[in-house]
Amino acid sequence: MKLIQFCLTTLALAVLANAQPRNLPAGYVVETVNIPKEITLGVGGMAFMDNHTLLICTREGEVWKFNTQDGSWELFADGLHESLGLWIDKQKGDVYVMQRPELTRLVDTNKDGKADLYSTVNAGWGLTDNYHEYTFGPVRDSKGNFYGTLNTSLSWPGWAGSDKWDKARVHDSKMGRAAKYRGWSFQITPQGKFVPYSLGLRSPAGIGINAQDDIFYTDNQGDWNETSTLHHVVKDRFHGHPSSYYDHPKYIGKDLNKISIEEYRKLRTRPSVFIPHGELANSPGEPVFDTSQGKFGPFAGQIILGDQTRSNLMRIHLEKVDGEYQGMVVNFISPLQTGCIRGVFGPDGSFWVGQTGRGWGSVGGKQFGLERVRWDGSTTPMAVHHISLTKAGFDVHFTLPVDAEEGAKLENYDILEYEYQYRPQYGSPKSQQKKMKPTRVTLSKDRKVAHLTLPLTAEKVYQFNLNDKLRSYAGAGMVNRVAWYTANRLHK
Amino acid sequence: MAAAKPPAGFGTPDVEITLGTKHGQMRFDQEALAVQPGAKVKLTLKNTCEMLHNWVLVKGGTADRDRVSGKALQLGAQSMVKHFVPDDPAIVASSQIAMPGKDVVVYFVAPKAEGDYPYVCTLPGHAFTMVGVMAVSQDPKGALNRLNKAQPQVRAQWPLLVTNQPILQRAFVQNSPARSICVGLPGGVNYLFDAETCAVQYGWTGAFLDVGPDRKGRGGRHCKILGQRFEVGNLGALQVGDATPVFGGYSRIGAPELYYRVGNASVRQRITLHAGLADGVLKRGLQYTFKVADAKGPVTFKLNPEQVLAEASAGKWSADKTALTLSAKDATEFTVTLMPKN
Repeated sequence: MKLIQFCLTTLALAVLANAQPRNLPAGYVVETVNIPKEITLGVGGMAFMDNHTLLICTREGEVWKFNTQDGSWELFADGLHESLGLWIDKQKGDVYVMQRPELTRLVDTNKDGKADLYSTVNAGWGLTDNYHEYTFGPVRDSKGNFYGTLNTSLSWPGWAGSDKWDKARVHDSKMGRAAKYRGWSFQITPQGKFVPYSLGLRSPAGIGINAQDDIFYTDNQGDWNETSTLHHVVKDRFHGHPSSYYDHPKYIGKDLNKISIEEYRKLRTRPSVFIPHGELANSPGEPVFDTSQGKFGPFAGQIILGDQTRSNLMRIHLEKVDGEYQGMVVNFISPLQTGCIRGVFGPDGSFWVGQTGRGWGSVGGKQFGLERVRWDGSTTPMAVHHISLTKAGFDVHFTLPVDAEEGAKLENYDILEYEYQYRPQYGSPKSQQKKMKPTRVTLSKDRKVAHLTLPLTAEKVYQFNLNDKLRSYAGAGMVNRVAWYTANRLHK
Repeated sequence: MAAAKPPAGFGTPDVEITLGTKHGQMRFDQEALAVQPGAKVKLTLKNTCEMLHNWVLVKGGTADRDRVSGKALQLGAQSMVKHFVPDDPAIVASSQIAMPGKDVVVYFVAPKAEGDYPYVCTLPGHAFTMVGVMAVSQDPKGALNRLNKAQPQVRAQWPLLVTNQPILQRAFVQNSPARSICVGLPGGVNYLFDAETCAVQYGWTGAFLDVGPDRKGRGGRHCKILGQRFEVGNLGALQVGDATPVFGGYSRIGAPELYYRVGNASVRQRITLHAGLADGVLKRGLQYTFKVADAKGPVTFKLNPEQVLAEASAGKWSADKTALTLSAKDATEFTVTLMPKN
């Protein structure tokens, strides 16, 4: 019985040196944690309690303490309703866990190492027995506000496992709203008040926050969502899925089907980054900002993002253009042992990947897992560090100086321009595809930046297919040579 | 405890039975046994639990069994001396108490009359689930088959079972609210509390919960209670004025204590198993211990008396027994004991 607290010591970390992912930049290594067979660890959330204690909450409703030093496991809490996120108040030692029906504070009042007080912080959203009504989060900003995201209700006949499915579907879309605030992000104030925050979310499985209190969530391809996406959450912003308008004060009582697709398109704020479905992601998880300040390699400040279906890690680089975030996404490491849904940086700068492969099918096939990605602290892999929009076109930033001759050749930079269609149907093909080449390429003095000149159009995605000849000055090749830049806006 | 020697003149047993206990599940490992009429039986009760158990074989039906179990509760100071075995003409055979991890042996001669004889562990709270039937038959094999076929099979993908600690699981449960909290108490009594309305919806006896539908595939499907549902006369949370209750969480030290607020008043409700007697027969039920702080006016507990017999430690019942009203002072701490009629 898992109810009884038990302590298991196992071989802490098994370094699977001969089973490294196919696509792995130089200097990185992936380690797999042995999980005792008594534990089902469908990871829902992770946070470090102290330097060596990683707290992990699970889809199975348990919270485990994993000692990263000696590899022991100890049950901290259980009986939760599908816990999908954690946040730890390091001063007070309180643990906040997001369950499907509420945000809960877990307190160990009798100091026996196990939570005994399960205190409801807020349960301000509606919930039915529709299985798709997930609750994700929390992240917390510097002012003490929590944020989370609420999944829409599944509305495919016979699939919801509930009689509450055919609710607030708009233009015959497949997800709806069977209870209050489905499809919203929300804020919980330090006083515990529920504030509906932004709307138009579909299946927002991951939420992240940067040092400037900017909040982002990822969404899955589906109805009203062209492909997998990363969105910047701003109060009252509409992200695209209209069923949530059902709870918007200005729209209550209105027939949402009378509003045209074109009108919804005008109301919506486009995602910061489109993540191509099938090529890069199918169901992205938690966007984690690299706060390791270089301890995890040369990508500090970028987002490390896992995908539950493809079991890969990606990198996202954001920049502000005309006041709004947009940017580049590129594959980083693939594939890991199973679906990558959660991530957290350890105090030593290594990146822990929380995994679940149950229910949707994940590359690798394991039901669940825990892996750690480490950087050796010295090797800089040859890679696209990021791509930035310029007035003339793009700057492609490499981690190392690029070969002087090849780096300056136009034919080494194949570019595909395309767009997605915002529509109620499931996903969108790449449309208006146009193959392009830069008209001019020059290298920066240190040869770490290629300045590309080409004509650009707003609201397009630019896919960079970089030639294998683009190698470092020492001949090192790039593991991931395809990158995508979402150009919602152009420099004015 | 030393194994009893066969009584003088008993001779060699015709049949030897070893009956175990399912660890932490408050059940015998065999719920059907069969012997020949008049057989000399040596039965060994192997207690693998960390609690005490006994074994009592009864003539008659389940009503006789429950009467015997009820009488066992009234033994008071005599309980341990008598091994929780009361005087009752229906008792055919009985064991002494088996201490945790120990065996006890019973020698007895099976009745001459063919038929089904219920057996039970009569320790407090065990008699709801720790039961079985011994067939006395010329064809023991056939009788055993018949009994085993008649047994309701617990088909669970992922059963959660209660040991010597209460267990709590929040989940979607068939025909229950979305914000359900399921609690299993040692002793085989379970209940479901709705965190939306802040009230116990129903209880059930038996095993606890099959969470397979939530933990297989994508999950989120309806979990199933594993046992016999009973009603608790639920008509909602405590009322203090006309405020709507707001759930506040729970403590898991001991039996879970649930918290909610009604306006300014804060309510703590601890729910424990109640093993009581109704007309001399053992019945399972629930006891609510309420602690209400900061109530500005009277506190009312409502229930449906058609479903339960209720007793309260304080307050005044309405004539039709649908409402118990207490002063704010009396409500600081009071208990309500519920005995379901079904």
